[in-house]
Parts: sequence; structure tokens; C-alpha cells
Amino acid sequence: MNRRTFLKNASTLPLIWGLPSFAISHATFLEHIALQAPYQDRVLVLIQLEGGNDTLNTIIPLHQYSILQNVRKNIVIPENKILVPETTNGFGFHPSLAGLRQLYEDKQLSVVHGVGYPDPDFSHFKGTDIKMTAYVGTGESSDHCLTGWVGRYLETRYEDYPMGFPKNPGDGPPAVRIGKVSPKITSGINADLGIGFNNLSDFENLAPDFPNSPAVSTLGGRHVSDIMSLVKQVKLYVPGITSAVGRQKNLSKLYPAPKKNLLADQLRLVASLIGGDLRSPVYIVNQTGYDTHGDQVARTDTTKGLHADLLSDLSEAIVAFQDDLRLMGKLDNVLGMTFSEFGRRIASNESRGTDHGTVEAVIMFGTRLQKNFVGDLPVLPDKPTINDNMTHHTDFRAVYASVLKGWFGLPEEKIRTILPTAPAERLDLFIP
Amino acid sequence: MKKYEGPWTDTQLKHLLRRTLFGITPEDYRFFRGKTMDQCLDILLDTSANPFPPVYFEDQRTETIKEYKWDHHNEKFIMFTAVLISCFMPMMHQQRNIGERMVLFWHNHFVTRYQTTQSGVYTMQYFMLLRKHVTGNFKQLLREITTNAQMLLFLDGNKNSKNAPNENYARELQELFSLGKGPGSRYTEADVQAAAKVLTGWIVDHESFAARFDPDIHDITDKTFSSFYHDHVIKGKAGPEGQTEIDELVDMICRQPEVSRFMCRKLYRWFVNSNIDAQVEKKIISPLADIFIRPDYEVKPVLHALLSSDFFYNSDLIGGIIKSPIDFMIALLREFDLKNDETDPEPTGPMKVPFWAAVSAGRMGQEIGSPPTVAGWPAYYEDPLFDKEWLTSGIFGQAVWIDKVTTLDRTNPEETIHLDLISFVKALSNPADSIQWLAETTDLLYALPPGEAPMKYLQKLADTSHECKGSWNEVWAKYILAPENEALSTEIKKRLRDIFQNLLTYPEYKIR
Repeated sequence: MNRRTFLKNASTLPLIWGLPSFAISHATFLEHIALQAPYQDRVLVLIQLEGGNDTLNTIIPLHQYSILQNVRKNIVIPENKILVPETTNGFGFHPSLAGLRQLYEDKQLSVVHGVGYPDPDFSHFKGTDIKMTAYVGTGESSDHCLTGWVGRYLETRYEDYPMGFPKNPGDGPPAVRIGKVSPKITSGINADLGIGFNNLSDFENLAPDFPNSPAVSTLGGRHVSDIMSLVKQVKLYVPGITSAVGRQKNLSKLYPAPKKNLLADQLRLVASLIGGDLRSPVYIVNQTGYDTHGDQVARTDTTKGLHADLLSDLSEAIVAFQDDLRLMGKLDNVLGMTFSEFGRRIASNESRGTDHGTVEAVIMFGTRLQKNFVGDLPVLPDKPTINDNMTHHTDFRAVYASVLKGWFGLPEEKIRTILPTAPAERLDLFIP
Repeated sequence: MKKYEGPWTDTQLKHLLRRTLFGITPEDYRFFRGKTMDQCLDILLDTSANPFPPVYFEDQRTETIKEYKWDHHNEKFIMFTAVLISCFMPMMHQQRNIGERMVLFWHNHFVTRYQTTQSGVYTMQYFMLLRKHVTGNFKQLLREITTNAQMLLFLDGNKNSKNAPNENYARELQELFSLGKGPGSRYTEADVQAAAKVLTGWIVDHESFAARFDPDIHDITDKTFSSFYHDHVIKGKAGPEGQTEIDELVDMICRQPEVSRFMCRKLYRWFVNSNIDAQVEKKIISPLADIFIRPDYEVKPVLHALLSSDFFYNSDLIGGIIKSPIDFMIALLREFDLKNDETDPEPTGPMKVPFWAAVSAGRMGQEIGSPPTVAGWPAYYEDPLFDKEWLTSGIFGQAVWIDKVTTLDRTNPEETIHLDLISFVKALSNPADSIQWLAETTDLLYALPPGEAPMKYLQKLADTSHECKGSWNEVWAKYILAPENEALSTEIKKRLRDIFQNLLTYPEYKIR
């Protein structure tokens, strides 16, 4: 919500280019139509797995199972309990992921293996920042350190946001964050392009319209005007959000009862917003609890416990969400994708848990996915020590770039400004 | 650091009080008015006489709330509700000093979450430790928190043994609790692993609720640190002496001047402003850090230097902090004199106000005892948003809550907090004159004066009739003569509701 930068840019651009501002916006408008038309209705749903998911117990590499058996004795999933899909590709799912395995068999789920980046950071906060901003400090503009890759992308679609938005009553905000998702991921250079809330009751009683206080230039004065603009901005979107939910009830019977599975509650709301034609291109939800240093698995049964419960919630929520979208006729429009700040260590610790590691497996779901299996399976050292980590095969920025290109149809030159340090490789993720 | 020597007026006094207490009550204002800055600071920084708050628990058998006695452990389990109450009560009834704001500072710095232990006993031990050193010695607190039972359980220190190092605490000890991740902090992954070895050997005994050192699982090898720590070696020690290695570790870390800088940045953000540029780093953080490290990390001299500095009273910074939900809640409870209702006949009656206040602040995004991550609430660390983060999460909840506590037709009897607006107005100097009392109210409640338009609007609401005609001044004059007249008192109540539903949701009430 940096209106100062915005105003600065708005007043200088036409002067620099020597063109009246309407001419610029007209040109970009045409370009926009030409490039985006087939992709206009596509939606991306991001699921943040907060805490650092233990990839090796989620998507389990079968060809190196014996190594896992040696170095994570106290948490390894027994081989006969691993859910191995018919076309195995060398890996199997955690027993809590029966639902996701089925989506995989139905060609609606892909796993991108070995996702990471060079010189990984082991801090939750730096790790989360890096995955949200795609800023690793190697040649990006410093603007990128404080802005999210999603925010920067949405700025290419919602030029000059928030000025003049929403264009039509009933339009959704560029991005919707539900639950405890950091606004960093949706922050653009000029403004936060997301609106965050927990549930609709947040809007029941918004602040009244404030009579305008004159702008005061002190820090406090700027806070006052920021608060006024924010409330006004949110209010503009509330009718659209509430009427979208009113238009489309959830149709799937697969959701658990409310408050049992917090991720399912969030996705249930996202489904009705998509179904009710809110027309927001990005939704972000969050599931927390993956920081499993201890008691990751139950004492007597490694297929049970903390991590198993998290994965079971994840699987249940995604399956119900996909079912709901199918019944609403929106299934083909939506791509889901998980991200986590890092994976965990190869070897487990003695607390039946795992410490911070490096590489994650990204799970994608949707009907337009081309392959089940992207990237190489991780290669583990023969005898990993407690400190050994996996090396990445696929840079997370290449995954983001491939989604922007393949899912949203963004041209390469724009991708390069959003993700300047992404490797050139693009993953072939979607059915053309 | 340059001391503030400008005029000491209401502006500076109220700024200091808003940053050190939670809100300003009319009594606070009267108490401090007329005192010099130094006199005010002497009082505000003296936490020595703060009582340890009583801890309450719910006795299931008799269905009463009782005070918890620490000298016996018959009750293994204090309810979380009691924890919430026991943290909110002292804030609501705070002494006129910085103590409660510093308890919250340490809670946000040395984070633990009550969900980890599911035990009110451990949670209260943890809060008691924060209170013990509230404006005392940082290094001592750092040492003691390292082997506090709740912390050991929260960051897996109790699972860290010689055969199975668990580096969770060792990492956060450096990254979050002492050195941070700034450019001056260059500890390595190997340092995290070495520190984890030093920290091995601690377990928590759930029978006695105490942390204990077990030499048998302590790693007695020598621990070598990186060049950042000047290749320091902590000699491994066998037997009970092994626990002294932690003292050496804390000493070694605290010898890094970056610790002092990191902590001063945090204090600066807590009390002054979240933006730290090169200028602030040079002119404020550096000299503060020198003060902090010199008498070996005494907290009080740093607070004194900061709160008496020329910079602190810079008029640009007044009102420059967005209130957190706990800020908002405690200030409001104090400003409107909401105390425990000792006359409530129900057994849990007296606890209802702090309980609902704590729960409501939690719903707005700041639950006491449970910061969302080990780094605390994002509003205190997430660049560039910082306190603006509260706007994205808490802004909706506040308006809903104001509506509930000012409405005249209460529907949910459980939500027992209700503002007594008539008493509030009566305590002001001239309730008969709405221009005067409204100005006095905004002076007290707002850190920045509101513009003309909002004031006019509030004035208009004061003069807008429901059933009884007349301006505020006319209706009030009649009401004072006949307070038992139902029509008049209802009229006054309705007008006050309209005024305060606006006054308390204006942006000016969201900053301090």
C-alpha cells in the first residue's frame, strides 16, 4: 500500500515518454487483450505449507528406500504402507495421501521434484521470504526484496492498481488471501494487490465512512490516510465478494464438518468465490504446523502422528475442493500449487522428527496438467550424515516462471522483469 | 545521544505515556501533569514494586475461580482461560510504569506458545520469568530462558541429547533471540550445530514441572566455533558441571556487539518507529548499543536514554505507531474504566472482562500466550509492512467489537464487556457542553488531533435527536436534573452510542 511511490510514478511517466497518458494506457490495453484472452478466466490457488514440509516422507523415493530406512529409522514409512501409484515413476505417497494418489491416477496431479535454489537458507523467515519474493539477493532489483512474485505479476494485469479499480462492480480484487498468509506475496511495487480476510463475518460491520481529515505529512498523519484508503478500498470489493458467495453454494459432500480441517474451510470459501464468478485470478491459503522437529510420527506407528494428520488434512481438503469445482463446472479453470519454505533433513533426529533442510516437492493439481511427474527424483548420498541435505534439480523460480508462461500466458519479456534471476529453463507443465 | 531539552507540554507528556503505558486514563494524566520529563521517567521506569500477578485457575469440582498457589502442585493443569486472565488482569490494572509493555516486548522476543505444553503451569512459569527480569538484565534473562521448561518444550531443547542433537533452539537462540540476521551477524551453520551440542542434556520433569540437567545425555566433546566467534572453543565438561557450558555460550554470544545492536533495533521498533534507515542506525542505534553493552546489558539505562532522547520527541513521530489488537484492547479497557465486576454473583463473574478482552484481541490477530511464529507477531519484524500488518488482519475485527460494546440491545449475554459511556462523560470537566467534552475526549484518546470535518460530524451526532428534541447541551441539562427519567436517559445513551461508534472507529483511534 505504497501510494507515495505510485503517485510519484503516475506523475512522471507521461513526461518521460512524451506521450499523453491515455495513449499509453490504450496501447497496453490492446496488448493486454491480445495476449491474455485465452487465459483470462484462469485461476491459480496457492497453498502455503508453513513450517517446512518433510518432502521425503510425503513423496517417498522408492529407488533409494534402503537409504531412508538407514538414516530415518524412527520415522520412515514401512515400505508396504507406501501408496504406490500404478505408473510409479519411482516414488510413492505417504499413506495419508490416498486422495492425492487417486488424483494422480486420474491425471489431475503432478509432482515437481527436487525444487530449491543455490545456497539455501535454513531460517523459516528468510526461507518464506525467498519463496514469496523470489528474491535471493543475486542480481534482482532491491524492489524485489519487499515485493512478492504474485504481486509483481498481478501488476502487469492490473496496471495502476488501486487507482480506478474495481473496473466493474462485482469484480474481485487481483488476489485474495485467506487465513494467515503474509501480504508480502501479493505486494507489488506500488501497492498490495491482495485483500486478506479470514471469513465473511470480517465484513459484517466495516467501519463507517470517515469524514475526511486533511492529510497531515507526519508519520501518524500518513497512517491515518493509509487507513482511510484501505478501508475504502476493501469496501469497494465487499459487495463483489459477498455476492459471489451468495451466488454459489458449495456443492461437494466431501468437505469435513467446519472447523475440523482449517485448510478445507479456507478452500471451501475459495471454491464458492470461484464458482460465484468473483474473477480474482489468484487465491492464497495456508496450512501451518509443518515444523516437525519432534514427534513428527507417533511413537508406535510411523504412519500416524503430527505429520500424518497434516497430510491427511491436506489431501482431504484438496480432494473436496476439486470435487466442488467439478460440480460447479469450474474444474478446468483452476490450477493448484503448494509451496513451503524448505524441505527437511535427509536423516531424522532422535526426537522422531526432522530438522530444517533444503529441497521440497511441489504438488500441483488441475485437469490441464500434462505430466504426472516433473523433474528428477532426489539423489541421496549413500550414507547421509545428520547434516547432509539434498541438492535441488529444479529452481523454484523456474517453476514460477513456467506457471506464469504456461498457465497465464505471460510473454517471456514480462516474466524476465518479474523473475529476473529465474533460470531460462521452462517446464512443460500444461496441456497446450 | 542528544537529550530532549525542548518545551515539556501536554504533547510530549501524552506521547511518552502512550508509548509506555496502554492508553491514558484521566487519572494518569492528572497524576503526571506538572512533573518534569526526568520525574516522569523515574516513575515510568521503576518497575521494582510491581507485584507478581495472582494466577487463577478454574476449580472444576466447586466451579469457582481460585487463586493458584505455587507451593503445591496438586493442580496439574491450569486452564488456558486462567492463563489468558492472568496475563490480561495485570495489564488492565497496570501500575503507572513501563512494566506491562515490557512483558509484552519480551513475550514477543522470547516467544513460546501455550499450545506446545498444553499446560497453564509451564506457561505461567514462563511469564513469571519475563516479569522477574522485566527491566533488568538481558543477558541474565537470555541465560534463564534458555533452560526455562516451557522454552525447552517449545523449541525441543528437551529432545537435544549427545546422540541425537536437535538444533532447533540453537538456531533460534542466535537468529531470533540475540544476533538476528542483519549484516553484522555472521554465525555459520556449523555454529548452530556446535551450539546445539553445548545445549544438550536438558530435560523437563513433568512431575515437578521443572527443567533438570542430566549429565548422562550431555555431549562432553569440545565445541569449536567459527571465525565469527574468533574460533572460540567451549571445553566439554562431564558431570553436573556440564551445565555451565551454557553460561560460556551466552557469554560468547553476548560478546558480539551485534547482539546489542540487534536488541536496540528491536527496542527502537517497539517504542519509536519501525523504519530504521542509515541515519537512525548511526544516530540512535549505535549510541544506544554502546549504552546497552557497557554495564553488561542492563535494560533500564537503554530505555532511559531512548525515552529521553531528542529524537523520541520529534513531532513527526507522534502518532506514528498503529495499535496492535492488544494495544487497542487494553487502552480501551483502561480509558473506559472497565474493571472486574466483583459483585457478579456467578462464580466466574469477576473474570469475565479480562477473559473476553483476551479472547477478542486473539480474534483480531493477537492472542496472548500464542504469537503465530517463533519470531513473534509479524507486525514487529515483517519488512516493509511492520505495524501496517495489523491493518490487513485486525482492522475488521475492531469495528465489529466497538459495535458490540456500545450497542444498546445486547444479544449475546456471554460477551459481557459494555462501555459505560455516561460515566465516562460525567468524569470529564464539562459534560454539559458538547464542544468542550468532545475536544477533551479526543485530546485524551487520539494521538493526533482529528480534522475539522470529523469533529463537526461528532458534534452533529451529539445534537441529533432520537425521541427527545433539543441540542446536546439542552438535553443534558434536563437529564442531570432528572436522571431517573427513562426517556431522557435513553436519549443520552443513544446519542453517546452514535458518537462513540464513530469516534472509536475513526483512523485517529487506531494510532498511538
